[in-house]
Amino acid sequence: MDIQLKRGLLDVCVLAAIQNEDSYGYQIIKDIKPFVEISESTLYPILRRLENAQLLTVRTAEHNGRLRKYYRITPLGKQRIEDFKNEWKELLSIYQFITGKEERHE
Amino acid sequence: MNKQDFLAALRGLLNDLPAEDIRRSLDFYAEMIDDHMEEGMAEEDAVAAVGPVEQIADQIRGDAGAAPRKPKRKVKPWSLALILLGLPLWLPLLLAAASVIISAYVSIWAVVISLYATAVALGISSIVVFLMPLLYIPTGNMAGACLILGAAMVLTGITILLFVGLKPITKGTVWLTKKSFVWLKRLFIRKEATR
Repeated sequence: MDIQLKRGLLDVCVLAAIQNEDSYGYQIIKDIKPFVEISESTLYPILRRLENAQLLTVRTAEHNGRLRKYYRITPLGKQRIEDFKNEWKELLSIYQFITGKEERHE
Repeated sequence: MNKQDFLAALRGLLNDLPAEDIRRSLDFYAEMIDDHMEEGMAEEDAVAAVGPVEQIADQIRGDAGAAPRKPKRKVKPWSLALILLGLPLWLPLLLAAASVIISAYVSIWAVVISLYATAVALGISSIVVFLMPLLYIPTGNMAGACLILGAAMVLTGITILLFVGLKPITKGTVWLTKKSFVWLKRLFIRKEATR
C-alpha cells in the first residue's frame, strides 16, 4: 500500500481505537494489529502528530507502581473520524462506478 | 539488550534533540517495554519486540526534523598514538611519493606544451618558407622556387597533422587528470563514510 496513504489511515485507526474510551499505547497496538500491521515505532510518531493537531489529549496515571500515558479523543478527533467515513463513502461509490463499467464489457 | 541499555542507547542517539522530546520518547518506549513484560515477555524479548534502537532513533529524529545520526566512529587512542609515533617515518615517505607523482604529472604537461611549441614553430616556418620562392623568382631559378615551394607544403602538412593530433592528446591528458582527482577523492571520502 502507498506509504502516505497508509500513514493517513493509521492516524484514523488510532483515533478509532480511543473513540469510545481512553486507552494506552500498548493496548492501542493490540486493538489495531488484527486489522493492519502497526509497530511501536510507527505508533509513537502518530500519537505525537495527533496530539499536536489536538485530535487527542494525553494524561499520566499510575498503574502497578509505574506511570502510564492514557490518550483521550477530543471533539476535533471525533470530527476527523466522521470526515474520514464520508471520504470513503465517496471513494466506495467511485469504486462501484469503475468496477461496474468493467463488468459491462464482459 | 536489556531495558536499561536500550534506553541509554536511545538517549545517546537523541541527545542533540530538545530535552522535552527526549524525555517523551524515552517515557513512551519504557512504557512499551514494561507493558510487554507485564504480559509475560522476558525483558530481552520485550526490548527486541520494540524494534532496533537505531531505527527508532532515526524515526524520532526524522519527525523532529533532525538529520539521521551516524554513530561516531570511536578512534582507539592507542592506534592514534602509534600513528603519531611513526610520523618521522611515514611523513617523508608520503611527501616523497607525492613529489614523484606531481613531477610525473608536470612532465606529461611539459611534453604536451613542447609539442604545441613545436607545432607553432613549424607553422611559422611553413609560412616563411612559403614566402621564400618569391625570392627565387627574380633570379629566374624556377626549379629552385618549386623545390622550396614543395618543402613549404611538406612543412605545412606536418604542422596541420601535429595540430590535429594535439587535440586528442590534450583531451586525454585532461581526462587523466580528472580521473586521478576522482580516484583520490574517493580514497579519502570512503574513509569518512564508514559506519
